[in-house]
Amino acid sequence: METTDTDRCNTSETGENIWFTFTRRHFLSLAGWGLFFAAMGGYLVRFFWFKHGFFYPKVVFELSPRFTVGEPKSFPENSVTKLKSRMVFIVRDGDSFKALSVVCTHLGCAVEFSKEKNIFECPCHGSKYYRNGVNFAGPAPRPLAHFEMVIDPYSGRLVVDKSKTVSVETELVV
Amino acid sequence: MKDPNSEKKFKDSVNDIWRSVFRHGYTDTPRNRVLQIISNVWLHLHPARVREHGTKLRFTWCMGGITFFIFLVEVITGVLLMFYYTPDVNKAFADTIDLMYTVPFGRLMRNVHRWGAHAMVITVSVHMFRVFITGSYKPPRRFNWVMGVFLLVITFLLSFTGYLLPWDQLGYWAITVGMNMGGATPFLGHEGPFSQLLGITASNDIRFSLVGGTTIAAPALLRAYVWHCVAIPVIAVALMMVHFWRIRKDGGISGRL
Repeated sequence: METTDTDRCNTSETGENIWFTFTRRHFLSLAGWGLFFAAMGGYLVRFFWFKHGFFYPKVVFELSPRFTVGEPKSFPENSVTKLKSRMVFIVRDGDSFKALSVVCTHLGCAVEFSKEKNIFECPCHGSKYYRNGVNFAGPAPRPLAHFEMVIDPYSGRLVVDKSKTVSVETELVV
Repeated sequence: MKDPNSEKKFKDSVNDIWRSVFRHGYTDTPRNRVLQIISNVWLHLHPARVREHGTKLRFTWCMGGITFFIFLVEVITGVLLMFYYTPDVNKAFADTIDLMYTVPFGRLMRNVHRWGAHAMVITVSVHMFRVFITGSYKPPRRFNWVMGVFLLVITFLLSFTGYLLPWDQLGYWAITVGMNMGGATPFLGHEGPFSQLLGITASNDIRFSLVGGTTIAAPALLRAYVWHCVAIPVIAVALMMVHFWRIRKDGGISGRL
């Protein structure tokens, strides 16, 4: 196909004759590149998309949220035991058991139990919680998370499930 | 045996090599001075001509230049640190200690890298302050101000990702706190507002994508390492090229337009 003067894109400064014929070649070229970039863009968006994109692995090698912590009698009466790797406190008062999160509700530091003061204290920004996990000082907005704790019917041992939180009043009486 | 012309031949060949590198002589004319600059790959990064007010420190404080210089220092010391550092939770802290106590100049390199990072945040902030009070963000430099804001964020992200790498208590808890702030992002963070609308939980929110898990553990260290040592520096260099190129296109480093 021969290019004629009328096919050329005219960009004269006088502004005359500024037009060009939109040929089949133009259309196919535009459609081809358009599809190409649409497809590439689609893949890119899908690649970086949230929840299922590249940066969201489907499997993570982390500790199971549900785990056995031992027999009730292995925790002394009126004690607070920190299970460091599991990030929970097992609080026992008489026959009552609670599983409290170690994670401060302010910004996620690990709180410590102070035996002398009988409270939980956060080393990062000074939040304080009573023995039952309720916040009373510092920037913490909420009580420490309370996790579901049950007794395994077969072994009679305490089982904590960190994927399930329960209300602050909840306690397991053995 | 000795070639009487050998000395001349040697000098000529040396001269040839010299002239193949530096193709313009010492003739002191305005044209030749420009040629000397633009035909040299390193010098051509500089403008061929600098206006006199551009050299006045009182106006620019050279803060952008100092920031770039510190960035180069960080690249050099950072590459040296990478020779001894392993981004593995069992090794990272020990490697850091080894760098301090067993590697010749290791303590110097680490401290220069660390103090350089602090200095860069300061100089980049002072640079921004200077640009603001001299009104250098005004047209036609608006686009470059935006590039500069991106570079400021990049500087913060470099500092933040580098914080975790020693895998010590300070960095670990700083990243824990910082990432929990990320978890409060609207829509994309599991503790942020409106996240329920998108079905976001702790195992698919923006924090999860940044640390590669629900807690700060091995994947978080590796991600911080890759972002810190490769990805963010590449982005930073790309943005810096635009930033520097744009300074000249917008009329030079200082003065009226």
